[in-house]
Amino acid sequence: MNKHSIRLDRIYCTHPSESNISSGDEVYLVCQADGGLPIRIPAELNSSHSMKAGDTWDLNQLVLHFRFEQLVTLWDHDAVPYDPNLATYLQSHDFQPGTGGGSLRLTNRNGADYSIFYTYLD
Amino acid sequence: MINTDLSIQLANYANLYKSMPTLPAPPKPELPALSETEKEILIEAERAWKAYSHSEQGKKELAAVSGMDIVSARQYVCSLLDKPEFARLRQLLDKLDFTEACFSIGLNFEIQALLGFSATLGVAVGVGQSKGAQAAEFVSISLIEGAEIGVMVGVEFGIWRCIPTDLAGPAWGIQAGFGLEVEGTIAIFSTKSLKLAGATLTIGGGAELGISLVESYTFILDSQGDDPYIKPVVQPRKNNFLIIESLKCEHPSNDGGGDENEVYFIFQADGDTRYPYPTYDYFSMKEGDSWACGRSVWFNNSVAVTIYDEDGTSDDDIVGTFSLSLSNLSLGQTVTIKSDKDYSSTFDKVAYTIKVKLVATNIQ
Repeated sequence: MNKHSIRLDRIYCTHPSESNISSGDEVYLVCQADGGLPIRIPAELNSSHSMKAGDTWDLNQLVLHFRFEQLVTLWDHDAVPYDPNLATYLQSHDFQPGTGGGSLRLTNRNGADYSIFYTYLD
Repeated sequence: MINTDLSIQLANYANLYKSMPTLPAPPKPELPALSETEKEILIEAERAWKAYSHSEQGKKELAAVSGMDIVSARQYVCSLLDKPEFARLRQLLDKLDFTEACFSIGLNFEIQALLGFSATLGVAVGVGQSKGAQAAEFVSISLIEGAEIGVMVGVEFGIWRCIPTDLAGPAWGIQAGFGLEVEGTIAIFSTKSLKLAGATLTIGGGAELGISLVESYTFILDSQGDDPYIKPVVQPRKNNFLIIESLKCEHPSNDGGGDENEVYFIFQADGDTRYPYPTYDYFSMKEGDSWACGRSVWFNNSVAVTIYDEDGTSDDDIVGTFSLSLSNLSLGQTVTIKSDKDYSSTFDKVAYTIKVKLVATNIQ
């Protein structure tokens, strides 16, 4: 029973992880509403979005639905073929019910610095 | 009703499968002819299964499946072909003369966990000229509508023209009778390249009349043990819901790698499945850092949280343990909780705290 919706508009990379300064991070999202089945963005198993400093990833108005919360996690994946054990956790944000929109900054001690732009729909 | 752990563990594979793009199915292949030996093998598999499942020992063992988790269910499946009822089947398998061939046996489960899916948990062994090839334990997933809430529905035998580990990936099948005098459902599977991959015989469950298309994806499980390749993510619904909003490093442990800890935590609601967070990897923290982890947890009475500092050279160090109980939380309130075990008197004076918010109770 979903009561709320949020739209993720884009992700901006101010700085990729230290280990990927020249090549950039291979970013993908895992979005999990209320502890349920997560979805992966991009959907393809081995796919990701390459991001260097200054890059914007247009999420094509990604709408996520939830009842209590929507946990959005950023990952960097370099391994081919896909092995989640080798993925690097960048950061995450837990969206709880709210209004309006804006951006939030996610950083880690490994140099990653990203911003997520979002809009609450209901 | 099967073990909740098994439902959740299988749901994690369904989740991964669901996250993949929908591959366009190849054109419907011509129904290929099975060799006489392949037909004989499937017929004998059905006979052997009936003999086993109707035996006293078989009934007892199959009844126990409902209480198994994925580890014990895998062990059980691997033992099936060694049962005395399958002796003649093993002889027939030795007669196969394909360059690459394997035989699989798996248990089918239908599970409803937001989406419905059927999972086959099985093992494939090399046969014919591939005898001795590395066996592969696997989970095959198909998304279906109208699944039950966690039931074992039958057994699936497969004869494949590939080595066991090549079963990994997508496959498309056509269910049909193929003129075989068996009660189960036969499906012929092809791979993306339209090559004949193999045939399955499913006994029990919703055998469909006529011809229908099925699509599945097979994961090779490898050695999962205590550190599984696919880690648990999906949580079963319970009565109450909290969020571990943040974790603060008041003082890190000195693990020999400087003043930074590589932090992850395990949460366990009501003594059930242990979930890591982040699901993989860790989050680096120094003194004074707060990590807005935002980890939600479904629970009935209590949640145990253990924080670890990952150590690449030895066992990971525990740097905090927390016991959360419904009676110690207030609806809508965020509380800061200290570790149950006080590490501040140790040499490192390690200290972590967490902030927890009880979001909802008695959820319908």
